[in-house]
Amino acid sequence: MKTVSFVLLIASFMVSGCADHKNTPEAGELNAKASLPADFNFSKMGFKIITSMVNKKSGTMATLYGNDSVKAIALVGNRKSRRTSVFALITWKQQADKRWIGGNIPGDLLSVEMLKVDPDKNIGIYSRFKGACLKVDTDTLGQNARAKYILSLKPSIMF
Amino acid sequence: MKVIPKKAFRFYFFAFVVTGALVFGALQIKQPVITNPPVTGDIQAPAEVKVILRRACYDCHSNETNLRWYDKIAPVSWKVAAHIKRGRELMNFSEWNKLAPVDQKAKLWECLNQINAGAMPVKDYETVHTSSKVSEQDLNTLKNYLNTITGITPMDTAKLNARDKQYELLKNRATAITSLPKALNGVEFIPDYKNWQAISTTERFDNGTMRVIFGNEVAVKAIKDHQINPWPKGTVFAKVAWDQVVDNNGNITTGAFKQVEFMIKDKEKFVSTHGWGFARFKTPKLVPYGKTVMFTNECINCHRPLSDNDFVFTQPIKN
Repeated sequence: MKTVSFVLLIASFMVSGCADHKNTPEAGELNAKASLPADFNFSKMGFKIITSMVNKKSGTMATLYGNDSVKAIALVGNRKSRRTSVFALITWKQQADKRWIGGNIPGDLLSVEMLKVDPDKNIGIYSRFKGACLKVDTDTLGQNARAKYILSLKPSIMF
Repeated sequence: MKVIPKKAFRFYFFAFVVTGALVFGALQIKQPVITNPPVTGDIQAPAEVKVILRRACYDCHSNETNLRWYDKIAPVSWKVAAHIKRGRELMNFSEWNKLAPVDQKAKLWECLNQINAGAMPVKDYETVHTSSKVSEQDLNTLKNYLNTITGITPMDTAKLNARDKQYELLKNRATAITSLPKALNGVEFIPDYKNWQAISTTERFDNGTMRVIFGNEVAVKAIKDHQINPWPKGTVFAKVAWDQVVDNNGNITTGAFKQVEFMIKDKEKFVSTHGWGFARFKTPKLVPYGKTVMFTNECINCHRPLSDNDFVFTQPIKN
């Protein structure tokens, strides 16, 4: 056995360099189930990231975006603005990161919520899109609470 | 076909064997020196964890190396010596007390991930030292142990205060910074990362942070075109990390800014780190990480198990 081991060792010594690995889960793949449908055109809306959060009870994670007006306000931590602010909150089901034990990442896309706040008219327009296809949600129940929640979120600190 | 006469064949065979034996013998004259320096602070862990570490890791990652007879024969002995030297430099369980508790924990999570990805134990070592194999059950033992020593306290006052202090700092900071900090490998801080698109987010329960990964225009286009293995030249990622702030209902939000890390793709410029320029800027002062230019070894060592994915952990989301 030891002789066999030795021969193996010599052999591996000959062939091995710095070991490369061919086992990254879903190598080269996008996170498809967390991605937004292309026809939603989210990337063309000019949003900047404001913050991100996790809800352990529901096992979800979300990212809050805002237009330039929101971003400008977020940077100084002041919510009073004269311009129209548009918020977008994307929520996903969480999934374990297959590439790093110890991490959770976005899984199935659950919803996109939009909130437009017009400072002159002093009103907010809320809309929600649900599921992987982001279908318009016609249920208006709880909209005020959600709008309030979105406005209560603090921006992440970035330097 | 030319046939070698039997006599001549015998001669050549004999000459080959003798030369081989002489070379092999000569190799044995000069041997690498492998010593076991004193153990200054052995890792403290439950017995079932310690057993796995001793069996699978200690030969290269401690001062208690157990050399087998076949490890002492050149040329193998040279490779073994190099493995041990490098292994101890990267992580040494016998000098565990030299690491801060938070770094000890981070190292253990990294171990777990290196084993899980098949990067550790090193394959040629494992082939010969079959007892070093880490089974699925061993991996679970390590995972369970790490989960017991990792956790976030809800409503942690220190973390809340650290966050609020930074909010004040941000409000009172007059203008943008004028001179950009630069890492020792020449990678400069890019303040505009905040305006890039987010390509993913992570909740890292192993180290109690929240992360957002930003991609520049090149990265976002590559995602759109699904050309991400390899990523095109000019791709830049920025990964920001914050403390997790947890309330009593299990809501996690971002707390104090800890650092921002960059990965810049340029195959010609960053040859030694597989085409990626790494940098990390810590705290609101954006202090470049690394005491010497060799700091990038740390980066690439952790990213190496993903060599078949262009050394990138993030699985991007297409918006």
